[in-house]
Amino acid sequence: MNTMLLLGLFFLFVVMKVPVAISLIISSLISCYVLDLAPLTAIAGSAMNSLFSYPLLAIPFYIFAGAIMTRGGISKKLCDWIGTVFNRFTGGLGLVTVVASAFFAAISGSATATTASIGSMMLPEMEEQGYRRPYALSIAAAGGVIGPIIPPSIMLVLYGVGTETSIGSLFLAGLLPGILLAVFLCFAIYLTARKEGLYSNKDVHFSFAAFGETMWKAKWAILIPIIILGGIYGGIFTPTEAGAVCCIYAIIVVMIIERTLDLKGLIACASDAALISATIFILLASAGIFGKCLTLAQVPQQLSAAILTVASNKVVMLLLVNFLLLLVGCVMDGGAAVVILAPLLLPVVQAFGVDPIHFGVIICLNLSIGAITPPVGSCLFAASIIGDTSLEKISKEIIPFLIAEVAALMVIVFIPQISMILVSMN
Amino acid sequence: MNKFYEGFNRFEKFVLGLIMCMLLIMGFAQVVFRFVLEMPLAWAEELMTFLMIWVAYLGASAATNERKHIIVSMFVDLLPKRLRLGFTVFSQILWLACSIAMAYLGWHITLNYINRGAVTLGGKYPFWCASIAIPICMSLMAIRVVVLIIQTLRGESDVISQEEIIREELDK
Repeated sequence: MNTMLLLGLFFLFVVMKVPVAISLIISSLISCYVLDLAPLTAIAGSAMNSLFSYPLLAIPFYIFAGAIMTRGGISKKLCDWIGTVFNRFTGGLGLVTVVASAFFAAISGSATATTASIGSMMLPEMEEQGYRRPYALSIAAAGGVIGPIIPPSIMLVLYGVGTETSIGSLFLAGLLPGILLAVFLCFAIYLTARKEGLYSNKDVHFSFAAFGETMWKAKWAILIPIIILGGIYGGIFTPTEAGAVCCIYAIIVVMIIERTLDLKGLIACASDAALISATIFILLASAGIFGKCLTLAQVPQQLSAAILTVASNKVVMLLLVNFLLLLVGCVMDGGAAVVILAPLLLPVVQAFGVDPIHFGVIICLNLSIGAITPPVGSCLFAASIIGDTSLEKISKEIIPFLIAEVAALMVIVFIPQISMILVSMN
Repeated sequence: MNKFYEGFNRFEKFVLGLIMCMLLIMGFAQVVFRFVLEMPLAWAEELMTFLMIWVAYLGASAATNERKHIIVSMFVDLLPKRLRLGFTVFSQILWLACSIAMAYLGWHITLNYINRGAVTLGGKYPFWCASIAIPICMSLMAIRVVVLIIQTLRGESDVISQEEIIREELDK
């Protein structure tokens, strides 16, 4: 009854187009009043308490750094550099798109931004070499999914704050799964490119001179992942500090060295970053209110009991949870879904002995795959806009990549070592 | 009136950008002080979380104006036009009620903090400085939603489409 009322009201409001954060607050206030759980002011206190967390500051910093860095024209330099290695293989430009997306992900952490900037860079080149446009665009969209897995990842920060898991460990755990995802995608590109007749280019040879030269041009961009990942993994920075350092670095590079951004542009970047962060924070605050009501109404216990009666063993439970997450990812923004679902599902999977850090990777990967599934896949939208091609055409081409990503997901779900090995080594 | 509203929007965004820059300066100063001068800044962490709460609520008000809140509109979009308008206005009225309720509750929380004289552990900052952001910004949000309802009734589009968001992203 309690569960039905709280979750039912929430879903009703969300479907009725009330903003997700507002839906969370109204359903909490109504249920709290009807079920007489606690005084409303006690519940509303969470609107402040759930934001009183220092690690959350990492979010505006990473968004800010990404916004500044993408103004410096890094995507072209990155693609040129990676191209000197991969251009000669079958489906070479497709491989470059995926590897560049993985690299870009370590700078921006947003799936849509990755697809938009790498995709618009690579599309003309791919078409020139005979790639059909929808096929090329589907590669760019699929590459975007790597964004939220490879650190820094906003989704992982949200999961870490919501479940009180170490964000540094989550970042460590996300690295190998992100690379694995890229490898699976490259394999899918190799197979589809052969079918498309895009064979390897025998005339092009690997040249160290070109590799070195393009790498030097891209040096400012390449250093960012090294600062962030090296700083966190080496135990020098916390993820929040790494974000601040990264912002200052980006400002120095883009404003002083490359001079592609002025002070006015910087303030504009800052207010945009603050605005986007605010939409995430307000979700967190309202999810804090909602979570308090859930706990008072003992919904997590009821829900775990219900799932435990359906799923008898770990494999069935994991498949069930993954299916649910993929489904949610299809209709809802990933960040919002993490904030709402992570605290609800974690106790259930923990009862089966799944590590919270491993589960963080699972939940983020599931929800990011939602970015390339219709009807609200943000990467699909981005690809369709940069290529001026209908969503249907790209959706058809994306199926092999979707299969590759779900396959990678299954490997990551059922071999926890891939996520945990770096964490246990550190 | 319109001009005043536009001016306020710009002012609000400018304040947000300014707070963001302050956060960045403090965050970086913290790193510098810890490494170079080997004396961590104890006060900065709490002050930064206070500023962050202001970013959250002031930004929520600005995001209402720019239609950037996360909304699942796909189900209502399937309906015929008249019903769609009805549902949209109804959801906005719920939104308005919610922001008024939160402004009221936020005010109570703030009063409670003031009466108890609650301060943070490290820098002894009074909590009401942060929590007062809730009643102020939720009232601002309520005004925004009223404007939004008027715009919807006039037939203007009520959500930014995904397309516009990405085009904006590409323009940068």
